[in-house]
Amino acid sequence: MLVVYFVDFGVTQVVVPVPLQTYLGELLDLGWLYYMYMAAIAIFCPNSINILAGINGIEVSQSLVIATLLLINDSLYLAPSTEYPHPATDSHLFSIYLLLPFIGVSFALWWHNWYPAKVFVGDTYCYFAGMVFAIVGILGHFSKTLLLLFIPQIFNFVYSVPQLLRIVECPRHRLPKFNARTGLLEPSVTEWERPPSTLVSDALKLLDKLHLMRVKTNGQGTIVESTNLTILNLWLVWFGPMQEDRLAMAILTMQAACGVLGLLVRHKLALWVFRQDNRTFDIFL
Amino acid sequence: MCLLLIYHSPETMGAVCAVVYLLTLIVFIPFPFYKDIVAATSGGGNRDVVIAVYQVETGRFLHKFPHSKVSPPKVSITIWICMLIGLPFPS
Repeated sequence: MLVVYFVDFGVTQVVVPVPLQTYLGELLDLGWLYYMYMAAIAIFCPNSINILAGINGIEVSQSLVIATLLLINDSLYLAPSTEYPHPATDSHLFSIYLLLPFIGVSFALWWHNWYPAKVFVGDTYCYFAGMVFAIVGILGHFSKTLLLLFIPQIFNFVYSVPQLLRIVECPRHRLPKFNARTGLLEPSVTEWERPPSTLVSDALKLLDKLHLMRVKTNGQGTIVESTNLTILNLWLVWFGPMQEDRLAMAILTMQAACGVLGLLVRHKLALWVFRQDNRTFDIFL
Repeated sequence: MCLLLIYHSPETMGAVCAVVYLLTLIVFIPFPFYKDIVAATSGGGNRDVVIAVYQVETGRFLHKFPHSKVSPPKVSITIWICMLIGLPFPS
């Protein structure tokens, strides 16, 4: 895909924000670094969707939300109020060609995967969805907009890093625990048979104070249990145990809100940081 | 052996999605290039343009095909490859 990018566009320059233009000039040619950036996005997108997974319907629904937001973003470039033909029209049209079948296929899966689920998705769907988004973002030249829409996934990834790097012990499955008695989901925990080192222990207690996780200590103050570091568990720590579909709805609402905010930021504030937006939209000015 | 793995694991539903998606893409890809494909072949509705046989044989029309837009098939192959890479990993 990067080869396709090289052959078709070969554009490795980026526009420099106005405050830095005095140092770097108007366009900065990143050369091979840009390809590294593209490769990083192509690796990051599928895996970040895969981390924010585990409860019924969440993987498919988050992909649907992101795809819909991308579609809205694309349609901004096709609306009658924009100049025609806009230089970016082609790439946005292309991204619509890729996103529409994706939404169709995902919706079919969503119908059966929402709570209570009759079919389940594993890694395959997450990688598929992530690759579609990465390709659409890279070949359409809006990878930064894509990353803005991925903010909940980015947060989840950063939040999970201690467990991914094994600084905190990482159990095989970190999805929320199902309590059969109450029928509700609760945050799953890592049990510490051997207490963590002092540094890790202090860091975990600090996170507990900041309400970013919940830590259970025994009488001597050593850590016995700590909630797993995923956004699903965090939500349950904040809002108490809840039913699976309500948790999924809550996360999706948050995703949609972040996405809309991200799009607003991208189109409005882009005018402050760069001298011109790709898309002149008089209503926003 | 590979088919057996797919049959046993219940969470490869994403593969079904990806295959249907690829087939859909393959079916619908020619349509954006309607003008390019149709103009190069006679009988495209524009009867004024008479394409003589010798012109087609020299292949003069081929280089006018917009290769910049030909990336979708390569894209679908990329998605297919990535899916293949993703399949062997059990969830």
